Amino acid sequence: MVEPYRHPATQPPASPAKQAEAGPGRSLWGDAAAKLRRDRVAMICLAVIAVYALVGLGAFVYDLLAGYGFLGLQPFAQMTDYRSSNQGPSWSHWLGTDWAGRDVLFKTVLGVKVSLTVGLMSNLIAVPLGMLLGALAGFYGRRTDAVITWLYSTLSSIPGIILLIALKFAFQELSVWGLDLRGITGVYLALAVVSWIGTCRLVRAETLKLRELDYVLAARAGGRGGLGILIHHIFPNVFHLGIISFSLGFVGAISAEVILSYLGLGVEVGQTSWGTMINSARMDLVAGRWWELTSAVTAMFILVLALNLFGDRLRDALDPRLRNV
Amino acid sequence: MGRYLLRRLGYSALTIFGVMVITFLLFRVVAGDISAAWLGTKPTLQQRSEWRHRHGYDKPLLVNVHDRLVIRDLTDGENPLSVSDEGAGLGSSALALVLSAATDESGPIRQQLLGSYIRGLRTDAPIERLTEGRPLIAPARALPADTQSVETQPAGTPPGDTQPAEAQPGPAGEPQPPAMVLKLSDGSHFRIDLCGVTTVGEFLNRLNAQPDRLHASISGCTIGRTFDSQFFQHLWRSISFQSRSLETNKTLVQIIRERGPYSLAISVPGLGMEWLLALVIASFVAYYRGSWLDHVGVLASVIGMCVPFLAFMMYGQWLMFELNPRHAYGVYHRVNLYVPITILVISGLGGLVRFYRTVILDETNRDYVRTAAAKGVSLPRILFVHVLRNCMLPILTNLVLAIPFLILGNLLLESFFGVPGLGDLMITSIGNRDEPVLNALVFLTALIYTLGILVTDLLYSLMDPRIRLH
Repeated sequence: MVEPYRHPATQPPASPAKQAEAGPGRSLWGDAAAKLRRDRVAMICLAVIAVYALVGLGAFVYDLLAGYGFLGLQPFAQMTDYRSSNQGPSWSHWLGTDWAGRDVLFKTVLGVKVSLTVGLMSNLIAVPLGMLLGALAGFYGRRTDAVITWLYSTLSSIPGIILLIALKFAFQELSVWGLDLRGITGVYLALAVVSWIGTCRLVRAETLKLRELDYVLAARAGGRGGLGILIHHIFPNVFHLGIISFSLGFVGAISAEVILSYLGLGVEVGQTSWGTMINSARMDLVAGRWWELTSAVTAMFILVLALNLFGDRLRDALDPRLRNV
Repeated sequence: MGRYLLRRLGYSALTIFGVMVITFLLFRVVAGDISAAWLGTKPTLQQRSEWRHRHGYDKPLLVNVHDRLVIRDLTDGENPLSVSDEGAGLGSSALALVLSAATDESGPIRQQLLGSYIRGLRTDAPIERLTEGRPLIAPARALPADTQSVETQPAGTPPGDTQPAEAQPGPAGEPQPPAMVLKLSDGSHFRIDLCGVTTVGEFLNRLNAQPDRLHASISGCTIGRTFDSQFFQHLWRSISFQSRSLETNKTLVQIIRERGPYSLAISVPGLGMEWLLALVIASFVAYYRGSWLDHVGVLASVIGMCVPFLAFMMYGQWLMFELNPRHAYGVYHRVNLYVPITILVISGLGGLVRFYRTVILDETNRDYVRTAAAKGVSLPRILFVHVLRNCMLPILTNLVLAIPFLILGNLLLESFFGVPGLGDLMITSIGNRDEPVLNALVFLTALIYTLGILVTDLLYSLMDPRIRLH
């Protein structure tokens, strides 16, 4: 149902009870947080994501300490014990061991770190870039818009996974400014190149609408320059789109990293990720060893499920119009 | 309509050009020199430049306004023209000469050695310009290890010269002067003293000492050769599908003819069934909106969407191994294809059902549906006649997005199930760095996608003239 438009001055004052229910402020963020807090599924998903984040942080700290040999900790790659390779689940190894006798549960935990960093890093590059370019294209229009639109429609005419493969192929013998792009850094960058497009489209469309609104026109009439309007009026009003594309992009990045690592184009050789686990276990099922593949797949499934469900709720809370994105 | 058509065509052409620029940047500029991957362990500079010359990777990147050294053999013989070093000379490896055939005005095919492309090469330029900074003469001290490995010793070098880099005097008691020896096609040797060569002109003069046997010159840039560069070669090969595989030397057209049918055999039934099934399930679920059936359907599709594709693939193959091992891998039996097709259908169903359901439900909230319901149209008729017809726009767009995979099959499925399609080829070309194939396949998918979008846009604008205004 569409409510008839009312000028704010003619709006009947909200009843005190309703005001109390809405809480103070009634900002977009306050509203969305309240809506999410009431949603049990969203809260469960958030808890799952938090657990994953903690586990990932733990793995990160372990890697850091083991890298310097603190506390007698060993890097995972050196924990080989060929006498106990390919053993099924037992009390000492809850999820069995891999081909080199290393604990599969621990391997999976290390994979959490890789997946979360990939999701985080690629979106930290892609989302601000997409927001900036989208806002510029939508706000300035004309030639800026033409160039940016051409750029993203060209990039998006190559299917995502194929563009990722092409990028990582090109990065194979490359290091730029001391960054070794052959490994995981290249994955961050390739994912960023692929995924800024979605954010840019969303933000551009929204900016095109915002640019004609009264308060922007008023700011313009008041003598504010283009950059000032962008920073003070456009960005705050497209910021929620950035959050939404961050949550959408996170899931995409995790899935893409697993596929790239499976193809040998992801993490460095010898590094652990769910993709390399799946790749090394590709013939395991036929040999009756289900544990490595199953634990990698299950860990990924739960994380992706939680992120997907939470992302949906977040999107509905922040901007219900975007249901089809 | 005419103006819209023209604008739309121009826009697609721009996009396709953009894709060619992007593939050029990725595969030629960023990927850099891939010759090492094709030449085994520790290739010499000579081998690398020959390989690069053979495959056109030595050309200038954008436009050819470059000069190069040309040493033409004027003797008529059958032997291959070759070059080697003597004494402390590094001439042949420093110049990175490559052998190629040249036709004279007089007719017979002559042999010639070509230097690398260098911009603005004049006869009074220092010799380092010609050798791109590499030393023409070995330094007196022992060479660093990498330079030594770069040096070539082709057969025909006089014995005694195997260690020219050593500073110690040779067996004869005194160090040999640095020189370059050209073995001409009539079998004779031509020795060029490298001592005291400082400019390009001086070097040319020494080469031209016997003008009836050898002719050396700097080939200036001409207008006709301006487009003889990697970029224009890339453009031409992309649009004419004439890229040749480094592995098998087949053109893309041949490759598509060979492998395309396998990809289509998987993707056409796979995507068709997936689309049809998803539409039926989505309408069904939308029809019972709000009931337990709807909830179960949505939950199942969300779960299906979150299961990694690799899991579908691997557990599917394992299941097949348990049921009928002969159907689990390869295409030796024609019936085998049903396994990857089934996996393709099931894996994509979750996301599609969810998407179609949202689209259908969005449409049911519109006014015309309420009007139809108010005037007494039955629910199935509303849903399947009114709503579904109006949903076709987003659903068809969604279908167009899948078109590139029609040709490519499914990347991961094909290689995992041993189907020799184009997707399988793409995965193998990543491993053995077959750049032209990968390049051409990326371009092909982008081309098909752009054309697909173009055709659907034009069809839409025919059906719904409002679209032309946007």
